[in-house]
Amino acid sequence: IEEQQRRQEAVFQKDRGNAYFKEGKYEAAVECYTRGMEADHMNVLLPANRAMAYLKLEKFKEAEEDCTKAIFLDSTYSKAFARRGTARVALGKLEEARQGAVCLCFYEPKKRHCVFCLFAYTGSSGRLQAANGSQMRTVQPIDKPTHLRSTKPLRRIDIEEISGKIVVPE
Amino acid sequence: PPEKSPATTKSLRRPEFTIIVEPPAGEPEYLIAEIKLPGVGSSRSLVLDVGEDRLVLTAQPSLFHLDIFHPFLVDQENSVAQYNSSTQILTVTMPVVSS
Ligand SMILES: [Ca+2]
Repeated sequence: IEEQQRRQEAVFQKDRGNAYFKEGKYEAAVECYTRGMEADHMNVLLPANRAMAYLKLEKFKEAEEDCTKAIFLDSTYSKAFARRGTARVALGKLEEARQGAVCLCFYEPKKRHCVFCLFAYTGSSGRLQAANGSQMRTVQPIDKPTHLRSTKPLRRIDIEEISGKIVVPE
Repeated sequence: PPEKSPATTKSLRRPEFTIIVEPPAGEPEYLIAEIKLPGVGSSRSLVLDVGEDRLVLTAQPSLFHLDIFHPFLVDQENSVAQYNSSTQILTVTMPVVSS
């Protein structure tokens, strides 16, 4: 019963934290999530949400650590990988951000590219950035004579829409 | 030449784009096309087709059009695309099969 009460307390603190988060009161949100974590250290949403609040506060080191906590609790929680990627890019840890993307692809092969592109490569501008500045390798389109073109038919690709913004916590 | 109809005079613009080869050195694993589509509010107005050596994008109604060939062969089945409606940038990631 005591354990159940602590879990309920954690959910209560999470909801309060989310309410503060939505109001843009990130410091207050962090306090609630922290209290929630003290009540129930197994709830993955608490460190994951606190990481978002830390990202908003530009406390990237703390955000990265919270994401690692969340990943430890649930290694399939892709949002934590994504947020950690964001934190690591902000911290200049581009190689680690990349490794995080590779980690994620193990669980969500289709999402690999999403996180790869969005978090290992994009800064706050949302534009692709070279992982190591000058090292970005680009290629130009070519004029290809008809007889050298692939004969395979085109394939229609579904486009996943994203807003690129830090969304409301769960 | 025959006079253009009003529909076709509404000219198709070629969007600004960059094709990145990943990783930066060594055997290419992915082609990542980053295409800027200012004014496109949603992915719903985009039609994207990926060929083994080609990428065709149309934004409707007739805003942008891109039809390019590249010097690689990609895995069409595992190519994915995301449209970021905030930055209005389309990112297409295509695993490279051979170069
Ligand atoms: Ca670390």
